[in-house]
Amino acid sequence: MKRKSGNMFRRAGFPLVVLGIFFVSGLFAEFLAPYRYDSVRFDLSYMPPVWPAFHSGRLQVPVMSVSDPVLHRFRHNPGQWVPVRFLCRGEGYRWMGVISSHTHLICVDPPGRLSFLGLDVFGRDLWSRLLYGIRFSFLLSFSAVSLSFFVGILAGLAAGTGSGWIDQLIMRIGEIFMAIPSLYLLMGIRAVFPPGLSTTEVTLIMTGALAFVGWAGLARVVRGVARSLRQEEFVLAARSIGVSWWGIWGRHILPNMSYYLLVALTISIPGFIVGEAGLSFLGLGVSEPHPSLGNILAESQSLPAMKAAPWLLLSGVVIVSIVIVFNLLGDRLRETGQTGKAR
Amino acid sequence: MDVVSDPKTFNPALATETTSTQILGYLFRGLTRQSPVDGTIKPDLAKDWTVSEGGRKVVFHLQKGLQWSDGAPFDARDVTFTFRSIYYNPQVATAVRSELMAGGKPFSVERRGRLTVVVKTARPFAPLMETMGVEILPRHILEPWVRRGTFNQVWSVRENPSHIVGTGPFVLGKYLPGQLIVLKSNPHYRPPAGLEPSPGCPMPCLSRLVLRIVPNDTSSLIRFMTGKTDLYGISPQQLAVLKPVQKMDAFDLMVRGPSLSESFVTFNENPRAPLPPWKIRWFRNRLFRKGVALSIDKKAMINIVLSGMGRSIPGPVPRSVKAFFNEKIHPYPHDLQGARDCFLRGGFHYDRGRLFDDRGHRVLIVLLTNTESVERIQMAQILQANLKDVGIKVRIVPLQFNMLATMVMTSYQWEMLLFGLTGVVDPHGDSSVWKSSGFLHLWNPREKKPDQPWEAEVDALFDRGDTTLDPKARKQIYDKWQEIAHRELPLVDLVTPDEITAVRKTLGGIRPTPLGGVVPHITQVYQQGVLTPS
Repeated sequence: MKRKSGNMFRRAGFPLVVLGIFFVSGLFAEFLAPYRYDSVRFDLSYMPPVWPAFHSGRLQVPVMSVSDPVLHRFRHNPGQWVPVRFLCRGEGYRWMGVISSHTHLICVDPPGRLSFLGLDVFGRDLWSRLLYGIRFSFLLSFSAVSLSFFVGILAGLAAGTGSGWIDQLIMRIGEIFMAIPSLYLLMGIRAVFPPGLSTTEVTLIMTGALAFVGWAGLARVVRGVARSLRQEEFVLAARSIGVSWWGIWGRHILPNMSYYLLVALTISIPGFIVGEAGLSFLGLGVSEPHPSLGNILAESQSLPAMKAAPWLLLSGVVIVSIVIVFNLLGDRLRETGQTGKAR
Repeated sequence: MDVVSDPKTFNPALATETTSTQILGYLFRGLTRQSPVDGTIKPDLAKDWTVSEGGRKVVFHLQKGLQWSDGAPFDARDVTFTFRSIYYNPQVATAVRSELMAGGKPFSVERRGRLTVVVKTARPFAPLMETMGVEILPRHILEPWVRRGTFNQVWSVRENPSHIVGTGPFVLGKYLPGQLIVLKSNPHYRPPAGLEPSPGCPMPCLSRLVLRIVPNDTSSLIRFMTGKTDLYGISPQQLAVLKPVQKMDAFDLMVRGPSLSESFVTFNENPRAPLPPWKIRWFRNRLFRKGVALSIDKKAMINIVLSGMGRSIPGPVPRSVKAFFNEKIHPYPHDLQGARDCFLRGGFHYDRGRLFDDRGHRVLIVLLTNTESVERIQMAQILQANLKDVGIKVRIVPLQFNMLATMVMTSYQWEMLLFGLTGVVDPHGDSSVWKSSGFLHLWNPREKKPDQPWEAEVDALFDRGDTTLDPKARKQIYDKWQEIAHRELPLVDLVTPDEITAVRKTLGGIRPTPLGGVVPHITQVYQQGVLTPS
């Protein structure tokens, strides 16, 4: 067993490493980001990326100011540089809402401004906002996935091993959910709740809504696998010596579909990430100033914004790469699973 | 030219939304018109007039030989019919009626012969000449409808375009719902007295106007850039896209100075509102409102939301209305310390940087604005950051316009509102906002009697402003009102964009005017050449 899982991780290597990087950067967003997500600089609206450079022997950041507010042109204030510091004291934060700290990986003193990927319309740092956005997307999709897997597996097992009418009832309900296009269903669910909720409430609603939409597909497959497994001799044997269905689910059926579930997991998470981004893009998700990958992308949807700050589209690049990496991971895992089985 | 939506009606008496009124403005005329350059009253259907009896009687002499677009003669009977049977007819659902009242009484409109109309008002009424610009409608077409009591259905958008008969420079040629509106020149059009035609050109000079219905601002922008439209009113943010291609696409960007429209934040001061009583107490506290006014960084708003092309608004009269603007009032500066002092003097206190009132309630406000306007949402976000600096927590709730209107006007369930109004030239037009009985008196609508002493004072000033005819005295009255507004701050004014219009170089007869766009009179516009796609 140990050898097998080691094999699995080796094979899944590359996508897992990339995902690990995304995950860690999201997890330590407060520390890695030089600024808070809502830290504004009204005088530097749409400033392009400005990288630190070596100047008089030190790593320094040039101080910029607006030269043309209409065309969003900036110029370097001659002779003004601000040194870059590492592991330094910056804006205060609470890591994951628990540990208070002021320490950032990298910071500069005002009027200098670190801008690795450019600033948005309010002069907020896109790099920092993306980190927070990644954290939010991961958090939301992981919790939504857990919820929908819990419901989906339970419903699938009940339908797969239960009597005919339970099976019929659960599967027909599931089909109703699958028949409605998921984005419209999400929008519908969101519209039931009044506008103007706090971010926490919106997050809970979105988690619930994503899970609500996502359980049915999983339940259908789990049911199919459970149906075929219940005919197997070891299940019949367990039944005959009086093991309860709970026991059979836990001992025989779930372990036999664990590979499938793992693959399904890696395919569902990007689905939820895109779902969240879609809702936020349409303005139904988390509201400003809280960043999510979707609402950062939404900022760049007008022609003037796209022209002034094309770097805001990077949020779309992040969404796409997360989705691709998850799918790669799913593929690798499936291959490993098949070879493992064949052995 | 593009318009944003379908017209709702072709009936001038029933039209309220801008697309209808814009189109009908080309099809119909009134007795007078207002100059877009300085706001003075110019002749239109009437060639001149005499005022007597201390301003209570005006005799209009109509221009000779005018015809409706179907060739029927125009005379004074059309005028009396329009006023008596349409605007003052209680069966007609017109929004114009309330403007045609002096001291709550309708004007008396009488005919003397074929070409003379006498208008009398119960008391002197300063904006009378301006209101005489309302569209005059054809009696020979509409009388049967009025008699049958079905006037509210006539001239809907399904009407055959050739049945819509006016005196304006254009007639309706074609209307395809959701696509376009084509206006043709009116062969029976006679220009008003004193208006010179463009060189070598009849009036109207353009033979047709095509208005395409494009609901999306980005599409309109792209249509202009690709040469599909010739005239386009742009927002300052779009300037960044248009400015670099100005030469290549052959257009001029005309900046006309600050617009009439105003944006502001206001607070719910209505004691009947379903809000926690302590919040209403904050909002009714003048020092609280002043503190908010001092915390707003208007320069950031101009630079970010308006790309630097705008001005901050000092008071309720737009800067460009020179006749009434009070030069003595200035916008509140961005002064955080001053703001904090205001809150402290107003009975609030700070605890670890957060603002609390005297009973220990944290100052936390929900700010409503409408989702349709990106600019407003951005302003709201800047305001949120500004108020955070003085310890006030603001939560922004963008709502759809209709929902917002219901919450603000009907259920009074709002705390703070960021909103805008299109400005007016004559302060009389502001009475629905500023009089305590007005329906747009947002902070406390439709009061039975003025709730606060300064509101009573403003009511009295508006009544006096309506009946005073001497321009100097009127200016003084409205100056006083602007000072009260600036002191009491029921509306905390924000910023207004510069009006910018992009005009293709192939159009002539275009001249920017401070009050009415770049087209002084549509009949003078001419086409100098045609843009050929390269």
